[in-house]
Amino acid sequence: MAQDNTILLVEDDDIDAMMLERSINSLRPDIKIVRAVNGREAIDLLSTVRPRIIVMDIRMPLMDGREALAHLKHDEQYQQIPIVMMTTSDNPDDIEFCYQNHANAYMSKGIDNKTIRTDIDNLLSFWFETVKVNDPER
Amino acid sequence: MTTLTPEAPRQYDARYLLIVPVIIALLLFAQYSFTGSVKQRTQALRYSLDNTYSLALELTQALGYGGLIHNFKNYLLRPAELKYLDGGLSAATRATDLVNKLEINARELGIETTLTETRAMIAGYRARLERIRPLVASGLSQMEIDDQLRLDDTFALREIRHLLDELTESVGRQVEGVDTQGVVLGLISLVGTTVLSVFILTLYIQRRNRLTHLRSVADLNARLEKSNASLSDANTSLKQFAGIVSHDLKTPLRHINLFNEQILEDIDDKELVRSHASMVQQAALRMTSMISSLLDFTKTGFTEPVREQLDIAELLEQSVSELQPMIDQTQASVTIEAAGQVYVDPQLVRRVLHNLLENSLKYVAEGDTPVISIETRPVGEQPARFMEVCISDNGIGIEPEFRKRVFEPLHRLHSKQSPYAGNGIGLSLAKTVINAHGGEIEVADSCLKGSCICFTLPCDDELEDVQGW
Repeated sequence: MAQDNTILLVEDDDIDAMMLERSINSLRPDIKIVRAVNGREAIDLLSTVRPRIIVMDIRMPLMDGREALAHLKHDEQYQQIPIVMMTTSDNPDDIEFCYQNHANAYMSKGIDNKTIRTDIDNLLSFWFETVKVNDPER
Repeated sequence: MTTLTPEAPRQYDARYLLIVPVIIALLLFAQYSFTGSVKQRTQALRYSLDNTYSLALELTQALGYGGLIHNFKNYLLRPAELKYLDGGLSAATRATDLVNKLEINARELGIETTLTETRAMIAGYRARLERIRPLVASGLSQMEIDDQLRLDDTFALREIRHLLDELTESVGRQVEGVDTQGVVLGLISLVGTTVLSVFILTLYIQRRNRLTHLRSVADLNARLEKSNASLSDANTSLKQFAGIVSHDLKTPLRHINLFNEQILEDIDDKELVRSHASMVQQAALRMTSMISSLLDFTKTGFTEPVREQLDIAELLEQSVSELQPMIDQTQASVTIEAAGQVYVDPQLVRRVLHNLLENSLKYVAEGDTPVISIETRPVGEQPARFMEVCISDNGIGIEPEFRKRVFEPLHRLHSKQSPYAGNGIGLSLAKTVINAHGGEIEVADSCLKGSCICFTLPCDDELEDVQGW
């Protein structure tokens, strides 16, 4: 079950997912990416995958990122997994909601390749190389 | 907010209305008794006066030539016949009796008097009767005795006549007084009746007006509350909408930017450039379609309904015929079972029907032919205020947990690249329009397969003006 270098990417938009995957792969080819297209699928996937972090969009069909975040952070089984919200929304309501529901970070999707790459670089070095995560399940 | 039940005021009204005839009856009864007593008193006075007249007549007879004086004269002529003496004496006694009675009667009729002249005359004759015999015995002639004993009775007779005149006048006055009293009492009771009736009627009308007013205030409050609720709903959805719109429009814009960058990066590789350019084009197209949907939403979803009375079946048939090309293309079968009138904005409701029918045609499992059935039924007791319209299909359906959320603004059930992708506007637009009409929309549980969406539309103009307040 220990998947120390797995990211669960929850993103409904194929283009955005592709861009992120590409950036991650070019920076850290060892990291495995598992993708879910909405919050519900992400929760389902978590029964078989234990990622180091979850990177999640907000606006998604069926179950959006806010709902999935609240669900996971209120579930003892999953609340230790860091969740980074990565979204187009810069709506203050969304930011407030996510932090209130214990999101570990809130990031805007980059509008050009360079920004995306920088953001992903920062994200990976922080969550994979800098911090220690308290996840006894891993 | 206080709610008024319409039953309570009506009970009050009935009680009020009952009091009016009761009071009028009481007053009429009082008036009747006044009149009766006046009549009685007048009659009593007149009877008493009549009685006094006959007493006076009797007295005159007892005094005059039928009684005292008659016997006196006869006894004077025939002193040997003692019956005249006895007759005279008893006539005097009778006359005294009558004088007593007359005086009592007069007192009862309001005149305090003593018939002194009459009493003196009676006493005089009685004394003279006793003196006839000694005078005859002393040898005086009848003429001489008559001369000696003659007594003038004119004063007594005048006195009696005078008393009678006085009594007549007094009784007349009294009768008149009683009559006037009666008239005044009658008038008072009549005026009283009128004033009271008017007063009670005014109270009743005031109360009714107040209740009507209260009812209309309650009604207005309810309307206001409803309108506030719908305004706040509209406001919330507008807010949600604006937030989501910015997000949804930003995504393709970002994609355009990214792929342009890619084009510049891979400028020498024709194939890659073509692929990136096509992605840019797709993103631009998605944006265009989103913008037109948004315009559609703002135009339709935030428009005040302009309502008219319409036949629901006709409206449904029109909407179905608008989609005929798509129906032909999918070989769908559509059945309509509808009857009745609705009071709606035809443009807006046609738009809703269009969206719902389009969904039913679009969301079918691959290889299936759409089967759509539209049914209407009046809601509640007749005459129904609302008409329920249900559209059921054999499509892929909506899972129970998402049945409420599908109506949230821009809530999509399918990802953008899915074959069922939509922009999440159709159903939230439908909800906004139906709510603006005072109706509700929901995904019904009754469907075995596919989805079944039911909504209500008003049948009459009861709820109109809600928005206007």
